[in-house]
Amino acid sequence: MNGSTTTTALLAVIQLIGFVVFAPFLAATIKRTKAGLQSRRGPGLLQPYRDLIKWWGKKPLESSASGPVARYAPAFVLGTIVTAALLVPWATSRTPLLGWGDLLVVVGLFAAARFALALAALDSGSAFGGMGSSRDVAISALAEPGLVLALAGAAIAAGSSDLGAISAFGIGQGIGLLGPAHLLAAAAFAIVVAAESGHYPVDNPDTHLELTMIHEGMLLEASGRSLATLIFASELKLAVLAAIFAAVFLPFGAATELAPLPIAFGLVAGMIKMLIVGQGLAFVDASIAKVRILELPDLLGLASLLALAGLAVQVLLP
Amino acid sequence: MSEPTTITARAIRERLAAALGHAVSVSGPGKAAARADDEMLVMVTREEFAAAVTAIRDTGARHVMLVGFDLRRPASTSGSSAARAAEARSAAAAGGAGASAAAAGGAGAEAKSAAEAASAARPGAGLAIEEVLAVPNGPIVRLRVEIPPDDRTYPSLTPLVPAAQWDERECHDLHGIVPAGHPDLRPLVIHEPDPPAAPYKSFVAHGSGVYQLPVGPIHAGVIEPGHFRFSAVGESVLYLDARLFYTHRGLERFVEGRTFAEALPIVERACGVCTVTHATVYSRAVEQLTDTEIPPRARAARVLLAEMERLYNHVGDLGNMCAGVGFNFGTSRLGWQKERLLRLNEALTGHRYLMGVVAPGGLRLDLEKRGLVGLGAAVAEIEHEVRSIVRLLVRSDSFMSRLHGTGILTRAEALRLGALGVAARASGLPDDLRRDRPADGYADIEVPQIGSATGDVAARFHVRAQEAAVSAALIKELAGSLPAGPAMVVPPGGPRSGSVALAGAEGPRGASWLWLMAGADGRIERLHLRSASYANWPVLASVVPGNLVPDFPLINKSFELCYACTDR
Repeated sequence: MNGSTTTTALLAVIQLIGFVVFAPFLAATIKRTKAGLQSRRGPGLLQPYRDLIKWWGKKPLESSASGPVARYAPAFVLGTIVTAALLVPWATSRTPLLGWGDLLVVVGLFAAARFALALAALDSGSAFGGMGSSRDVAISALAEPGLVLALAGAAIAAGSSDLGAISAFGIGQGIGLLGPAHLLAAAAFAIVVAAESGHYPVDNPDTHLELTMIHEGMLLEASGRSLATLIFASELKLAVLAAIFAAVFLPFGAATELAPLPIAFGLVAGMIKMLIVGQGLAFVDASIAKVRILELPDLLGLASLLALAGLAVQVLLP
Repeated sequence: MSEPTTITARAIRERLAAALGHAVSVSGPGKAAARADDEMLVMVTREEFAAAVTAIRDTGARHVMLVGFDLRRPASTSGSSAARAAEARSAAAAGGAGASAAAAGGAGAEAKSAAEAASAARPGAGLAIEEVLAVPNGPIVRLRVEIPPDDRTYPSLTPLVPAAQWDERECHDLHGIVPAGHPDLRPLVIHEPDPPAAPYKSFVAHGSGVYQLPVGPIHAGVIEPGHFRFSAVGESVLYLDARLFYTHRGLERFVEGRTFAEALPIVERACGVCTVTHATVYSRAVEQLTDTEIPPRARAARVLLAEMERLYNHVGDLGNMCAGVGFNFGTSRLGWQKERLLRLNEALTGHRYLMGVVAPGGLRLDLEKRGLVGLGAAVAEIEHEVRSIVRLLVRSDSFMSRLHGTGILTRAEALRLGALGVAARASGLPDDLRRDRPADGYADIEVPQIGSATGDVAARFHVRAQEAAVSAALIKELAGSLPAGPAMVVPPGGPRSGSVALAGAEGPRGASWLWLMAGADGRIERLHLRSASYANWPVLASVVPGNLVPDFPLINKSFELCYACTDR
């Protein structure tokens, strides 16, 4: 019991530090690749860290129309995403906070973060905040079923809704994991990752066109420390989504035993898998146009449909 | 260029006589008898104004501009024109507005005598407006109405010619002339009038679920200022009210009392992307006033420069349309081709945006030899690149699905609101001044007609792409065959005071028109520039309702309007 507590604490600390250090880097590699695909050099890989440090050192400017929600929501948003980060497996197939929450809790934490951010954006008093909130909430309402359904197939196969258990089951399956059900669910989850992390074809993370903004629209009034918190939270959320994708759909490489060497190997393997997911997002960002906003339900419906098909294959053709 | 159904000045005069019930006196454009069928000035009374405009409009004539002028002002309000000139110059010195250093010298006595001559030359001249209409395959008709200073009203033309709506508001703001019956007389140009008027109110829609989305004048990107008030339900726009003129610099007032040479760089810099167009309309107006015939080399070179301007704008604008849907591939690839064209501009003229070349009398600087050598081949190569990028864009479903059916401008609406340029040609109107009223070297060449009838963003995209190819072909042809000889003639002496010239040129955004009245002593009495963007802004505002809020940037970029030369 004592050992388990120590393990939990140690794993949690390693994973927390890992995510905090790695998340901005992941965002930087996406930017960098995108720039390369547009024949630009792009910002350096340390730029997100510099930005965060710069914003962190500045006092947030609050509009006269905003209230306490806008002030305190960023901390809540970051807190929920950090908690989610400890409920996903990275280096090992054991989540640091084992037994504290499964995939549904992770989805719920994302929803809580979004709710807080939407409230904060409404509270900022800017029309763009309200516009961004309404779009983000509408999109996530459509993306969430896909998110849950895509993971449900794997959960049914593994007999557990714990992301660590799903990952461990996947490792046990070996190459046999890559069946049609798995691939369908992976495709569904990929669309959901793009939607949830504010990437193409749903949202443009680099836009300066106010009227097309979704996630950026909600951040438009944030500044200083609040902005740093929210930007970091969104970078972290992307890393967490990539980690879930890596653990469930590409589980290979994670440690199955709690020994230093496999854990170190698992850390690096997880990082590489997340970078691959990031590169995929960057490639999509650079190669297609954004979907017209009223056609987004079709796209997200497709994600749910793919996930449902995967689930059907999983259940009917075991 | 004359078509079978040419309408002569004589026919117009008969039409007017029939409409007004009496013979009208018509004056032609100065002494050039050959141009009698090109342009005519008709004096009408306020009471006859509407009937005269209707008679001309019914020939299918398009609104060109409505210009107001107040010739009493030098004597009655702000002192002599010398004082005005001096005041303007000190403002220029303080603001660093780019007036030439030579202008500062010798302002006093010379300008003063000019003012005396001016007021002596036009006893009884006063407040007036001129509605300019272009009859297709016929003359340009200038209908002038004198406005008595103690009753500054006239019946508004906007109900008859909706394209005049902004012109009338501007005239109201700047000259205090009231167009009675105008449906929307909110301030347009002067945001904070003195004395203060009622607070400006944006027009908005009301109803359950309707919300307002104020955008700008400061935007998230580094672009020009404009305030857009959307009334929307969900993501659908019900109404858009655009408020511009945040960059009103008073350029037209600034050049009054200046010499033709001093005003050139000011007019040229009305905006940064149609510099050849604006320098050309200005130069041509001055050339008309001074009866100057420019040398063959300048005639051809002006076409070359105008097409270079059109080409880099069109290529850049195609890229910007990609940015409107976040299609980074097209934005970056076409942005690079635009940059290559700007570098060719620099090699050709020493200026990336082609400033300081076109001048009254021809070209101030002849084209650089090093820029001309291989220009045709370089442009052809870039055009080839652009064509292959456009081909890839057209094959991209994710891109084209955003363009089709978005921001539809119907032909009727384009006609009603006086759309110009690419916007008009993509909606089934063939208007192109290069073909309709060719000037300079355009009279010597044939510009193919390009157009589309669907009027959506995709149509404007295709029209731009095809026009870019035409421009490249023209450049290639001209670069190899520029006539030798001088590029500039010195315009003969100053024009008669009070004479007016009107010149138009087809720029990348459509036709820009310039109205120029000479003062005494080779100075400018009044200048009015109506750029293509000025005409197309109200068109854009009328196109957007019914579309989605996040499609606005795309529709906006498909029109690609300029704020600076609208605001002046």
